[in-house]
Amino acid sequence: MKSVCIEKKSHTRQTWGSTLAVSTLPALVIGAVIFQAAGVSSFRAYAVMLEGAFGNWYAFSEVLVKAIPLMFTGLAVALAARMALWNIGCEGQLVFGGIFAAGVALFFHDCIPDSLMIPILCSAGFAGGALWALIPALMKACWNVNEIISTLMFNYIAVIIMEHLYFGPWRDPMGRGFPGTAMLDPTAWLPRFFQTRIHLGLLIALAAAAAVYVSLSRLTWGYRINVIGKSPKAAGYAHIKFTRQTIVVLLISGGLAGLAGMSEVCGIHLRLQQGVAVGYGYDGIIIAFLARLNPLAVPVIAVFLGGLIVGGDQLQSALHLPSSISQILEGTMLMAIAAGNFFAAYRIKWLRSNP
Amino acid sequence: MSDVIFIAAIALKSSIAVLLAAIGEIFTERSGVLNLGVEGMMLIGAMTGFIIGYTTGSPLLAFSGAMAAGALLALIHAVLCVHLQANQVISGLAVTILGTGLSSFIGRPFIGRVGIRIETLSSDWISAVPLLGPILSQQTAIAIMALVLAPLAGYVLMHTSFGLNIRASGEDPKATDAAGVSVTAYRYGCTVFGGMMAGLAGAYLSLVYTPGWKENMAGGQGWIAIAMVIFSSWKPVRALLGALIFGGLNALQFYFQATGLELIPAYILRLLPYLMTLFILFTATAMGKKTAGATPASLGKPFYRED
Amino acid sequence: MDDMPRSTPSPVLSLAGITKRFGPVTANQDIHLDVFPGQIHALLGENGAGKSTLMSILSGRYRPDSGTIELYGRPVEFSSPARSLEQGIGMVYQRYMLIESLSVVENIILGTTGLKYRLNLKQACNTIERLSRQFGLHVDPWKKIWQLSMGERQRVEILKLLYRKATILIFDEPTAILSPPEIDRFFETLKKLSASNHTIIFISHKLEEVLRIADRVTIMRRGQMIADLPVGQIESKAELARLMVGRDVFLNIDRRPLEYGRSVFQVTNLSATGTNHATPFDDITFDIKQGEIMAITGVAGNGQETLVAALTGRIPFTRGSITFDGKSHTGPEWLRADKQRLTYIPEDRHHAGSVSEASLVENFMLTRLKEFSRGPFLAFKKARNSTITAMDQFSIYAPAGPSTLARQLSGGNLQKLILARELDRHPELIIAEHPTQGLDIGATEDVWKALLGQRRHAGILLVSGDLSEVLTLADRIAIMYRGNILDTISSRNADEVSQIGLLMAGSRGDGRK
Repeated sequence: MKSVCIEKKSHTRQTWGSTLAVSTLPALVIGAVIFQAAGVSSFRAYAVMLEGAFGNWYAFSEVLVKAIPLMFTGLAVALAARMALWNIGCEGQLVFGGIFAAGVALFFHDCIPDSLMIPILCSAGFAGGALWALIPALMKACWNVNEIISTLMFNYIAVIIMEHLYFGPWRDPMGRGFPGTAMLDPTAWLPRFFQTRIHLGLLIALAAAAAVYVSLSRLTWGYRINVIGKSPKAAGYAHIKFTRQTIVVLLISGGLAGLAGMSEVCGIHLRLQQGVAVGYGYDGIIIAFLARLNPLAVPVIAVFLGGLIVGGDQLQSALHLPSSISQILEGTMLMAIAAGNFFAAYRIKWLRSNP
Repeated sequence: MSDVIFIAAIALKSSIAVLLAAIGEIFTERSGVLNLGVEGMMLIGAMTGFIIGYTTGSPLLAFSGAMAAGALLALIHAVLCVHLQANQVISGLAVTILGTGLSSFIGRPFIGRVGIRIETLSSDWISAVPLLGPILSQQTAIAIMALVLAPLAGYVLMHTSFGLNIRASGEDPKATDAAGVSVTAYRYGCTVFGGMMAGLAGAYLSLVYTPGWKENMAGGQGWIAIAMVIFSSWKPVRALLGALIFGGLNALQFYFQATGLELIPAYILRLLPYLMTLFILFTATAMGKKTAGATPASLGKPFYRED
Repeated sequence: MDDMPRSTPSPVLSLAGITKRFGPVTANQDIHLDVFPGQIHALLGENGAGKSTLMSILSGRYRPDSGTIELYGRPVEFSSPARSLEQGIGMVYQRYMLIESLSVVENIILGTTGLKYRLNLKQACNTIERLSRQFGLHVDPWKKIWQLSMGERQRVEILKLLYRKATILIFDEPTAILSPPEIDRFFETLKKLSASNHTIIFISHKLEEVLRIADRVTIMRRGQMIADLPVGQIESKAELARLMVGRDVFLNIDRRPLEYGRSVFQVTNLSATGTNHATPFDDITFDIKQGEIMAITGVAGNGQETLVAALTGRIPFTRGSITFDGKSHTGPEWLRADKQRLTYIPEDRHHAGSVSEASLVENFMLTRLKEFSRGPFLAFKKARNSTITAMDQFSIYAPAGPSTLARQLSGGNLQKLILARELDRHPELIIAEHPTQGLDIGATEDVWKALLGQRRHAGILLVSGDLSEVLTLADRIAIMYRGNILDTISSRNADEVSQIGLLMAGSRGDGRK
């Protein structure tokens, strides 16, 4: 009589490259099924998506534009996850980063010299996001309150406050009811490149990725974070302070997400308006996970996801298929990854029972 | 006075979707599985219910189909979380994204169409009920069913062996498994049930509340249901209370908009459910885990028996 | 208590040739055991002797690699704890399997109800109350588990088994977390159970309890069965202790006595309360000189764990002081004091002493960040070189060199790495906690040599329950019992050494306690 035993493998080494490959396959298959069902050749559909995202310079520039906030939120989630913390609140932190940046730009642009405007906006964005992560961070560090739920709640609160601001006290007086603030002073606009919408945020995001990478792999602080994430008991043995690091990491994570908000407000929309909070915060979770928490892989994955979104939009205009196909692909990829962890970590063993 | 009845009726009507989804999620979480995919399941249910209702004209088929669709999506989540021990947060998010995408995709052709009508209960003897009569008569049968379901679910959870096994699975799967109860079976069952309820809630939105189909029409009510579960301390009757508060706040907003009064700023009304949930979460966690408002101890943690 | 087994000739339970391996470790080797009905049968041995594994096999939690089990003469196989419970064998584990937020009744009936609609808790309560009265297991069935004391929780566990009509009850270290009055009540219950033809097996390392309550005792050591005899045939605790520990051949270790230097560590009147259920300690005083190895030994659970936690600064001590590095510290001061010259080799080498998923180089830096950093930056090259040197010096075998992950090392190599890391810090005081637990002879010898070699620079505090280790390494041996140091003996005095077994059992040579 045989029975099946599931045994944990002794090692699990997965790179982000293999993860990406392994999860894309099922997604492509599901996508093909859906395209067939919609009466379209999957080859043609995927070709349109690829072309639409990477086929010409303008399209690719739009992919990069989409990727910028994704890089920030991906980094934010990845950093926190290195310490085994779940920052689901990037959406809210992004919003508050945008609020702070817009606030500074709208009400203080007179007192700030033009040359310092951009750095101050960045600081404001970072501060806004960090501030928004402060309370969940304290709750987790001091009372072990589940950070998944607390940060989730703060997302909603942030969006509601933002909507109140741009519908109410901060509304553009000349906007005729348009949901948004007045346009920001041009000194607050992030410079754009190559006559596209790619803005300074890209460089800041890449710099942030490098900074996070260096911190995690070369600083003693990063070492401490990694130890807490890999072995809380060893961290205790080595006298690494969990409380302090929890707060620091969540604040920085929130700050990174805040930079995403700042870059959207000052780089794309040029005002605080509806359209700032469209889910980049949640996408960050996907990116961090796909990148296996590697800060250098985050920008690459962000571009990939941006390509998926832009490609999906292209499907809509070229083939009249709903752009939500990219969401379907995204969701399937994520599921494949979640499932894939199992096959990487476990081995199925056939057992013979005792005679 | 009729204003109060008006508000109350809208409040009740607005609370049903959240209530149904919350009841389902309570069971799921009580068994130890975290399901962040409620929003996606609601949308799938909304779309499925609407389409089936539109094409067949039968409310029964519509609601059943919605429940089945939600259950199917939940089954995927269950396989990932219970059997493959995937990370439950990621899996739930994946389900939400997939559900949102699929429902938008498949439901595209049906945007703006007029679906079937679900009759309200306006019969004489219901209107005759003191106080609640006029409010109830504006509701549909589904709503009444949901109101009855809450205390029933509470009873099942606390006073049947079924409910005991569910609670045990969510608190301590190791001890429960050692006692001979199949944690796997209960987690599967509760997750699928949660999906069914979420699907039903979605169908309520597209067939009764709005009615109609539009992309992303759940508008975050799936996430509110998840918050409601915590607010209710995993007790269905309290979820009823929470849903009514949510519905009431909704109705107040609506009323202020309609009449131009603004006693409480609208954004504060919208904030209240989340603030209340945060407060409850904090007190439940910080005041010691053993009080009545405790999180199921093994929520979100996969279980496997070491051999 | 009877001298003769109260049994009928045929055993109720018979194990033959049971062997169980976990990777390279053989937990049980060819065990033969007979248990007779209505008896209280004790399974005695040190930590790691294999008692828990054997009982887990019996209760269905593990499956043996080979061997047979016979119940009432019929061969049986248990695929899960639920199956063995169906056959009437139930186990009460050291860590209770109780659901904290549910009530006593709910915990007891869990899994017995099938799928009935109404839970008839009242009826269950009646049965529970009847069992309580019959066996002296009083507990309020409506209370939640988290409201109960340890003794009450144990009663719930027993009631769980009795409710399911178990006839053979196995207890794993049942008195480890009970207070003396609770222990008395527990033994009363055991007697009542035994009198009504329930068979009791209990695992223990406490000699006096075995003598007090058991009818028969089986002694295990290092996975093998050493002796199996009626308690009446045992003459004294000392004899039991000797059987437990055995006359091990001391390895070829050169321990020339060294001249002692100055005192490096002084502990005066130290007291602390334990965390969770660890035994507290009270009024501990000793000092360690450079070049000296002092051992603290005793049966597990007599306060050693708490003492180490206090000495290493993980929990505060409430009274007394520690003098180290020239300064004297009170409780709260010690927590924050600079302990760079003090190293701690923890018992849990896999989860506390090292980071499993990190490389050897990264592990080498774990407690030495100040040393391996330049400002805020890590000094990787320096750490890597030091790791390689250490691996060479200590003959640490790693499949991928210094980039190997810690979890890929064998227990012995991992411990050598931890030692290398800690000893390389040139400490003044080394606290080594069960340093060779679970290691094979070769690794043990390496560890011992390394520790002995440190005597030139440091004083060493060895905390271990392994008598052969203690006698090999230590100059002075302090035996802990119920939170106090009962006596300190010199390892060179043969008379004093012969008293160790008695001291561990709680009595001094002349019968004093």
